[in-house]
Amino acid sequence: MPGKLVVVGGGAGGPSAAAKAKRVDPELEVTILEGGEHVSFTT
Amino acid sequence: MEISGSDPLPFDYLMVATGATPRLPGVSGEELEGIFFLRNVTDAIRIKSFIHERMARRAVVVGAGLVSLEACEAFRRLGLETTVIYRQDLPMRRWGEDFAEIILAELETNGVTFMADTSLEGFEPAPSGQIMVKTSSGALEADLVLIGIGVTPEVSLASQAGLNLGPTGAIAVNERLQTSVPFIYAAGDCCECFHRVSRKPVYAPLGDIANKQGRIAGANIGGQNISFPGIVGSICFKVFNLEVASTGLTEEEARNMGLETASATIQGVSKAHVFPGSGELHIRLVADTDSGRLLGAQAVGSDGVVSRINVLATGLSANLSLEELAYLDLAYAPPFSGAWDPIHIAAQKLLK
Repeated sequence: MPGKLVVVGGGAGGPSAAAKAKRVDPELEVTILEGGEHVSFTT
Repeated sequence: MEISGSDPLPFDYLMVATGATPRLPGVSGEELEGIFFLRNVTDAIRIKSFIHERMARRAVVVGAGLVSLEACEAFRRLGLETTVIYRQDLPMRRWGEDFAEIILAELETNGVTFMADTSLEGFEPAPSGQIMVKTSSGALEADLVLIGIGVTPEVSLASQAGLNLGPTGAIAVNERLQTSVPFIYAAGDCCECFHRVSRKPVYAPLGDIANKQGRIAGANIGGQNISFPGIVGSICFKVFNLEVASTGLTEEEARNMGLETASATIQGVSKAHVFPGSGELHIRLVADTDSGRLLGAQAVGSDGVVSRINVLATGLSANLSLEELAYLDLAYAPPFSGAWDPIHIAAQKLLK
């Protein structure tokens, strides 16, 4: 069963981690949670 | 993981990237319409639409940090009368009084009113529909207020999860970006990072660091084993036509750590003297007297500031001695520097 990663925060660090984790392990199920309206403006 | 309005979400790894929250001044009326913080793109869009919809003419900026000074430039470009309220006598005193005065002069040359030694006392709705800003130096009216007095790490989720916080109050992480719970990682403005010069964890809420920490955390979550080497404290910003940058420690910070320091400050030129467009470039180098090791550098000037500080940041990362910096093989041509770069000149002055 693939591993599950939950990322809390869609600013700079969260999406960077999500993208890299998924690249390194394409099987990983990744969910990003963001409370605001816009995601990742600096990643 | 419990999410409001959603089913619980199971996970094997959790990445805490909760960022930071703007610090509130804690005065009356701070929730009034027209008072803004600037943390993210959503805030920026709100501020811009407010300026256009209300045809705002007068902005008051509370605080004189990076965000505040950059906002001053944006407000002036939009034609707003801009006033900064600041508790201290000069902006960016960390760069030293001489450099802080250059920064202040740049603000004033570009039409920003700087109210020094002034503390914010509160806000009231003004009869005209604007905001009355009450300060220790009197009241002033504004159509828009931007509060930029720093941020605090957003650690409420981390605390609920029982993660250890470090001495700075941000989430403690190891070099793999793991928190005190090994399958929970953290990155960005919610966590600390290791300062390679002071050898201490510091709180440095900057986007470039967040990206690196995030990528390294992601690599480790994906199964690699990568370490974040830490930071040397490099930072830069632009205020109107002035570039401001620093890396490592200031002399005051180094002395507060108990180090014996020496410093040299020079005024050089950004390009060869004879070259058109050459501007003033001020650099201060700080070194440890015992070891001769570079501890930090601060610089201000019209151009070429950040490239010098980046060289010095590399020098700090590589532990270069002042002797090595004084004769470092930097690329030279008149459009970019003198034959002796300001870095060489400053390092040689400090060696004397």
